[in-house]
Amino acid sequence: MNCDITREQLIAYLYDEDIHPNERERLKVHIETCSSCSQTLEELGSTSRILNAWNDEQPNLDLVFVQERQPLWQNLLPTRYPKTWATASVAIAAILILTFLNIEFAIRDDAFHTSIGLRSSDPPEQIAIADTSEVISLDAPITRGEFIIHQQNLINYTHRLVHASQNQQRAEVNNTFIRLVGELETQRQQDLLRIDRGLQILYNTHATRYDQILTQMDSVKKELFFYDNAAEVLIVPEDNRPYRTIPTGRKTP
Amino acid sequence: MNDAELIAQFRAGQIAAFNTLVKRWECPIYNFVLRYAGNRDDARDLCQQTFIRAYKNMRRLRDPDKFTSWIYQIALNACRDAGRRRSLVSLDTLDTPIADTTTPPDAIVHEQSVRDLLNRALQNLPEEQRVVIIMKEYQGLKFTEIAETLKVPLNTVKSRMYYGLSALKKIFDRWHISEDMVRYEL
Repeated sequence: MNCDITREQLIAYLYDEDIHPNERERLKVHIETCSSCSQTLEELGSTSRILNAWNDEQPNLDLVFVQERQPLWQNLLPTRYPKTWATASVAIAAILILTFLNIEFAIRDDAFHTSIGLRSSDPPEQIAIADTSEVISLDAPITRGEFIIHQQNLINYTHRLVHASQNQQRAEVNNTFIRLVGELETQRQQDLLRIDRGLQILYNTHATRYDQILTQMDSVKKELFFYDNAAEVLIVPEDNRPYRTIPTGRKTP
Repeated sequence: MNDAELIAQFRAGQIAAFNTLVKRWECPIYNFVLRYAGNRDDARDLCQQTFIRAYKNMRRLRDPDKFTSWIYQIALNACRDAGRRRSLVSLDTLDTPIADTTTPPDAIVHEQSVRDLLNRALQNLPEEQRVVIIMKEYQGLKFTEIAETLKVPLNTVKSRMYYGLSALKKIFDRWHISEDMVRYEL
C-alpha cells in the first residue's frame, strides 16, 4: 500500500469493527478510487473466507466435575468439640499435680512434720516443762542420792517430750488424712459430673453427624442419577493433588 | 442463566453450576485449542486442563462479566505451557477420519483435506499471529476482547491480524488453495 491508509484501518474496515461511521465512509470512498487498497482488501477478505471453510468439531468429552468427599469414617470423629476430652484430661492432671504439690515436709520444734492439703491450723501441743522449783541451783552442793533423783527426773522429762511429740504427729497425720479423703471425694464427684457432661455432648454430636451423613448420602444418590449419561467423571481435590478421571463405561451418544 | 450468574452459584457451593458452564464452553474451548495445537489428542488434554484450572482458580476471577477473556487466557496459557514442554507440533493426526454417516465418503475426504491444509497453513504462522487469527476468525471475539485477553494494545491486535492474513494469503497461493477449492457443493 502506498497511500496513507494504515493496515489497522483496513482491518477495522474489513471487519466493520471499532470504526466511526464517518471514518468508514471516508475509507469507502478511498478504496473505491485506490486500486492498491482495493486489491489488498479483497485479498484479506478472500483469505478470511477460505479460513471459514474449517468448521467446528464436536468435542464429545462429556466432562463432569465431582467434588471430592471425606471418607465416611472421618465424619464419625467429633470435629466441633475436640477440646472436651483434652480439657478434662488436663483438669484431672492438674488436680493430681496440685494435690501432690500440696504435700509439705517440715521440721519444727525438733520434730519431723508432714502435711497434705491445707496447712494444719492446730497449734502444737505445749509440753509442760518441769517445775522450775525442782531445778536445784548449780551453786549448792548435792548428795549422791539427789543426783540420782535429778537424773531420773531428766529421763522422765525426756520421755514426756518424746511421747508428746509422737501424739502431736499422730494427730496431725490423722487430721491430714481426713482432709485428704474429703478433698478426693469432692474432686471425684466433680470429675464424674464433667465426664457425664462430655458424654452427653458426644452423644448429641454423633446424633447430629449421623443425620448429616444420611443427608449427604441422599445428595450423592441424586447427583449420580443426574449424571447418569456422563462418559467420564473427574474428581478434583481441593488441594494441589493431581486430579483423577474415572470412565463410567457408558458410550457417548 | 448467564455466565456471571452461574459463577455466583458455583461460588456459593453448587458444583452443578460449574458443570453447566463446562457444557456451554466445552465446544469453543476445544476448537480453540485444537486449532492452536493442531491435533485432537493434545486438544482433548488441553481442554480438560483448561477447565480444571478454571475450577481451581474461579475465586481469583474478580469480574465475572469478564469470564470470556479469562477462560481464553487460561486455555492459551495451557497451550503455551504444553508447547514449551513439547517443541514440535504434530501436523498429522488431523487425518483421522471423523465418524459421520450422513455425508458421502468423498465429501468427508474433501472436508478432512481442507481441514488438514488449513491446519498446516496456520501452524506455519508465528504464534502471536496464529492466536489472533484463531480468536477472530473461529472464536468470534471482538478486537477489544482479544486485546484484553492477550493484554496487548488494540492496534497491536489489528496489526497482527493484518500480517497474519497476508502471510496466509501467500501460503494459499503457493499451495494453490482458493475459495472455489474449499467450497464443496453437495
